Amino acid sequence: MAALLDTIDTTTQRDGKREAGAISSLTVTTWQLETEVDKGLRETSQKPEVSRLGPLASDLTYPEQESMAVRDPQTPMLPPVTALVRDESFDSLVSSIATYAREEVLAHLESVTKLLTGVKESFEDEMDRQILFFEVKEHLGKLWEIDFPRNDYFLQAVSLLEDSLAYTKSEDLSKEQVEGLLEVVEICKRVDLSINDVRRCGRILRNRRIATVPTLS
Amino acid sequence: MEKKVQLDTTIQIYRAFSHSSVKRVLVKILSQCQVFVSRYVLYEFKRTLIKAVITFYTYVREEQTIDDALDRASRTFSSRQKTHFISIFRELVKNPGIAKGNKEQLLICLQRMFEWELLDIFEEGVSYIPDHIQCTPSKADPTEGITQFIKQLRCQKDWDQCSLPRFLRLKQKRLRRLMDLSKSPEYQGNKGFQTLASLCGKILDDFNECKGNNCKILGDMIIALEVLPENILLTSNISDFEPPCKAVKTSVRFIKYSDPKVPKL
Repeated sequence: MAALLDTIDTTTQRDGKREAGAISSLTVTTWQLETEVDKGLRETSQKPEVSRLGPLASDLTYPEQESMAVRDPQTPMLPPVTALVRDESFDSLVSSIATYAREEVLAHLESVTKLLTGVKESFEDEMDRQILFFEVKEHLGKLWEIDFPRNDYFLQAVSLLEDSLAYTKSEDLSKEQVEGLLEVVEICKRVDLSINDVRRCGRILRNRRIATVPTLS
Repeated sequence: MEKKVQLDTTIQIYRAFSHSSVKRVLVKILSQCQVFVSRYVLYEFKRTLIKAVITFYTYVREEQTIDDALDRASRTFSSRQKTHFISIFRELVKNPGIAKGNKEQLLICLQRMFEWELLDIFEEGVSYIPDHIQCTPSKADPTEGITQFIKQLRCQKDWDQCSLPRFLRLKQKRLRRLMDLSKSPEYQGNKGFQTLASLCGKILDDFNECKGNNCKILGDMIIALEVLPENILLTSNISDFEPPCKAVKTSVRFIKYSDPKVPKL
């Protein structure tokens, strides 16, 4: 990770006036990860520039600026490059990862819904009910493995659901309770939840007598 | 000439889990005969025994100790399942790790059992008879994951996944005989047989009535009807099999679990 990012920034490119002959006036900004030695050497008075790369680049410093104009003309020049607008591509990457993770979360919740519907459909068969209800618990636990931009209230709702499943045994389950769990999963599917949504989840579970904390029963 | 026997679900279970005296008798009979089994029996085997093992597996996964899992199983399983289950567990505790309460070891053993071992025991030394019923749930595969397995085992009245209505249409004369027999005073008190006969009446009006949950009620009669003319049905379940076998004229021999003897074939 010594040289993490090399960004070439050209004033001419930014202005849309890039010409072949004007390459000698390019200014190259080299960004490097600061090492421990660098840290020691860095002057405390030096003010880091504001990163356009978002939080991931917060650990980056750019200690030196090297002007290509002072280089020996015989030194091979960098080939003409198309300037990358780093901030936009990075943001879109982050956004596409987030979208993918969101889709994954939704797909996971959808399969929880299907399993709970299966529990409801084969309610009379105690073995089917137990096996499918067990699978619901297993499936929900896997939600934590998805690297997902965290909305605290979404996570609270999922943990509420998980706890309520942990303290409910299939043999004590009623059809109304399954309905309640389905309602909570539907709320979770909205992902961007508020405190009121989580409270609503709690109310739904309590109204159906689904414990979210261990009880003697 | 070598005799031909066809096994019902209980005998298939006893081949794996039963008292040593029962196993001895079964080994003696099966070594002298050509042994057949139907795909419908395979379905029943999966629906009862393998599903019970999976259910216990989920209890063990959910509970802290084997003791707590056993407690739940003892409260949930029906009396017949409990009998099977005790037999299975008797085999399992022969493993010293499980006997000492090692949960992980028990989980591995149970998984091994429901994924392939019980099915291997089921198919060992037997040939399948032609599959006229074409029961799709009998193809349920436990290696595809337990949710998938449960889904594959499902059957509903409005699903078209077997030829049972067609099979029963071909055997409708025998169904009528069964209904007639149920009216005789000898069988008036046999609740199971009366339920079966009344369902047969509904099926004769609409053959699609046999699908879904009703298929389970008809189980013993279906097994009796599937027996090939040259085969003898072997079962331990006298009360459930005697009346339908008599009605549909199927040769049957019983092995009494409490007093197992080699029957005259």
